[in-house]
Amino acid sequence: MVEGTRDNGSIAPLLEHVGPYNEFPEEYQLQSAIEALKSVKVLVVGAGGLGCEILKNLALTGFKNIQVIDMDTIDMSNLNRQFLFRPDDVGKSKAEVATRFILERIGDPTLNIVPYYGKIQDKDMEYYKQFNIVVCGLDSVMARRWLNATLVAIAQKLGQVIPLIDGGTEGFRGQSRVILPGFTSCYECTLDMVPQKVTYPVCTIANTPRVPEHCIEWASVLQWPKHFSAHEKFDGDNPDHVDWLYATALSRAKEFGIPGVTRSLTLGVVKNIIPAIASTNAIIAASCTNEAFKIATDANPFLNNYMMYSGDDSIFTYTYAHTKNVNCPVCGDNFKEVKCQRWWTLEKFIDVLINLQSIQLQNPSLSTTNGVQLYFRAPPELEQLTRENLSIKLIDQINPATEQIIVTDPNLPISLNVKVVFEGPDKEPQDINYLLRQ
Amino acid sequence: MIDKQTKYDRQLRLWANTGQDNLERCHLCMINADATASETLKNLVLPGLGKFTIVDAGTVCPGDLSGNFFLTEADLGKNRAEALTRNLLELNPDVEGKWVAEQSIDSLDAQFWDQFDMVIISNYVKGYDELVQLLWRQDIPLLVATTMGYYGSLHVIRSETTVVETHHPSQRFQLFLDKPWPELQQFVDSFDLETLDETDHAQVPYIVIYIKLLAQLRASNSPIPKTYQQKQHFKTLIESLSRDISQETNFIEASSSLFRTVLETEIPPSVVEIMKIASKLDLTQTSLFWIYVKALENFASKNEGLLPLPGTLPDMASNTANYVQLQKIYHQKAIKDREAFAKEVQILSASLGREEADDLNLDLISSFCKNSNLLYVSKGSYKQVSEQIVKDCLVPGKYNISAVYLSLLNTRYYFNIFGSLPSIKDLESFTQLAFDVIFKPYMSSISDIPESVILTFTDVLSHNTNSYHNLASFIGGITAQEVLKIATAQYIPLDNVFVFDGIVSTSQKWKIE
Repeated sequence: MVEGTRDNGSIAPLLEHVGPYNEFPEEYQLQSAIEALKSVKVLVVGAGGLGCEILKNLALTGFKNIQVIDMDTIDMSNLNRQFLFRPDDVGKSKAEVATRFILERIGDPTLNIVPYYGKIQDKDMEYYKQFNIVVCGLDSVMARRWLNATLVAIAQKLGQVIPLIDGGTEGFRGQSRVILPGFTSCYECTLDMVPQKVTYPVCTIANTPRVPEHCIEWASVLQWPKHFSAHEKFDGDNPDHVDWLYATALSRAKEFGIPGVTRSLTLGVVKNIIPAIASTNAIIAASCTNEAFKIATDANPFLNNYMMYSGDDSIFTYTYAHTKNVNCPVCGDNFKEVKCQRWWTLEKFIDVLINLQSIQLQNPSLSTTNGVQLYFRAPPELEQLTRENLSIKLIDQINPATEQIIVTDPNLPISLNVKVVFEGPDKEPQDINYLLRQ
Repeated sequence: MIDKQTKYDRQLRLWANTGQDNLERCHLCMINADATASETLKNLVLPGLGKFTIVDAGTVCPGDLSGNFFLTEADLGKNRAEALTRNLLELNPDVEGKWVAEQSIDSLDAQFWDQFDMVIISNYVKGYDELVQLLWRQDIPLLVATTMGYYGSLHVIRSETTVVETHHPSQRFQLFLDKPWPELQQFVDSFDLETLDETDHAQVPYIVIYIKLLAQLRASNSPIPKTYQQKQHFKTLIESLSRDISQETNFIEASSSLFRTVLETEIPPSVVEIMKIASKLDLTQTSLFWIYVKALENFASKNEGLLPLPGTLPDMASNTANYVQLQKIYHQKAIKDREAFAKEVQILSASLGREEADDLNLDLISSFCKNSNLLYVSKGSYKQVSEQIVKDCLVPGKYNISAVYLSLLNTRYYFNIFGSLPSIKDLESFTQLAFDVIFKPYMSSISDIPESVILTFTDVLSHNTNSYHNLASFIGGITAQEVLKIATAQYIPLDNVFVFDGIVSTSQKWKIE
């Protein structure tokens, strides 16, 4: 089994003896397990905190064919956990630097790692279908949804089931899960478990700030667009931008006597920073690659299908089989029901859709199942053409008994079917307090 | 020079500069330079542990490279501890690292161990029992990390754990609503809900609404709402005060926040227990924590049985002026309580003849006052097995995770006797050993080890590798998290045994008394 200097000594006992918990001991064969590790193609999505760990773990447990995708470059604040990067690497591609480091350290001519510096959306189904396992260590919900939907589509259209092993961490907590597209619950099935970003009502930010976060949001949401032209978008990695925002938030806080605005808090709020440490990434990545190892070699059963981990109050894990959501727009074949007040315009309805926990979109376009275009973001001509529908009540544009709404979004490779249930008054209720104040 | 605030930003959001300072003062000893040790240390060097020392006399051989990312081909033939130290130090220039090539840990004396704040044993070492005793006597926390095949465990051996900054996830707020002090009462009285105009009525902070309603309850001799029914009733009272409960955000919030804010102000039972422990201690011989606990008791006895006000206020619907005013009232009371508490510390400290500069450290005092209702204390043990674990193991069934822990423990016993890891060929002697040293002492009536336990033994011995990287990395991550919690003195550490089963991906923990 020796190949290169790093032999398989650390995994040989796992492969050579069938354990008593192997569910199909008669079918297990040492030679096919060894062959599998050599031939299985693994895609690692993300070369950050989890990705660095995942690459190391795969390389040290016998996998030989790995590709890694990441669109990010290395930042100074990555160095407290992303152990394949050094200060001199700041600004370079994570996927490329990580690949180079692993290849050099492992020193095995049969180990093949191919980096791709770019977005997962750059690649199509043809690309993804070449893999046997996908291990995903991302911090973006949208990217995970896209990847999940792509793998489910490959299972549905090509009948090819590519296990998706997904990890995520936050502070001392994390989770790992195994998704068998078409068989287990998918990422979209559990979308409502994703914690929602804290938002603050605009009227509080504008009129009655109380806590430092209100002052920071005032600076970033209301003041930045006023002081900078539309094309100068706020960039959290630009220290001048952060300094301006911090100073603006601080002066707002002083004016109202609100303590607690700091530069660190400002950064945390505007960049939505999630605390991260190496040890949690190590735990979750190891859990993910342990599942990959068992799936590839058939040496033991794998996780069914979700493990939650928490280390901030002693240590706690909870493993359970998350059931499929029959209404899942990706792996189920049903529609989602969304309630709509009779008086809502299309614009108001879209606004509600964007913020709905079970839908969460960024730039949705809407049409009906009868082929009527309600609103399209692009191309500009179509946007122009459908824009006037925004101010018309939705109830006047569709027949809920016979049609549903198809929602698409450039960030999702699928469309959602939404069944609208109308309720409430035909006219917008008048706010008594509002009238009295006039 | 790299700015530490930037480099460590993502972790400072968990334990702040106070935790970081503690971590940077910590000197850790790692026994053995294997895969689990490498992974543990990697996770500690990256966030800036102060210093580590690795003890290992072995030489790097090809087999060591297989599951260890921090040993390379160039290290072959060198001392393992030396090679690992060098490769780890490359990760972070802020960290200091040393190595000791000592054949047997028996030859290291008490003075050697005294330089460490914590010791970790990665997997197995000769002279284990003696080292456990020695470190227990010297009051140095010991963590024992083990990996074998798909299994791993961590045992924290520490005589006493005390935590002030527990970061308790409870969302409850200590607002003293049922015990308003004069300044707060005065503020509440300045609102006449009936005469306020519509705008102002919808801007009254819910604290004012609560205190007014609680005063009504007191006047009619009704208790503070505790049961579900009482809380539901309180809800209707809140809603009846509102002019339009569908519109007034402050009343809507008052109604929905009731369960985490309207609480009887009392010393929590857990803190009462901690005070009881303190009253039995000889305070001339204890850590500062216990001086503070005793001072806390003295403070409470002079303040109607109340703990210091934490002073933090949740955000609530209100105009800025009302909220900021309220915040000031809470903040000033918190400072007053803190000063009174500091006074108690000073008196106590003087009466004990202590001359410790840290006793009146403002940061320590503030943090203790803020967290005084969430303090955590636990007594440890150096025992490796309990009757409970053995009993769990004997529950009839196909599989029990307690058998995994006993397998790993028995592997240690086996290693102590035979000096090597057991393999599947050794199943019989392994089982006999478990029967003699683990089962029989706890269950004298037992005649056979159940088949389900033998099955787990079989799995462990079939897969007798302790460098399967995924498990080494998993346990290395768990061990590092516990070191971070102990070193920063924040969050609640494991108490005291944890086992992970990587076949079904589940875990279990026990407290061995």
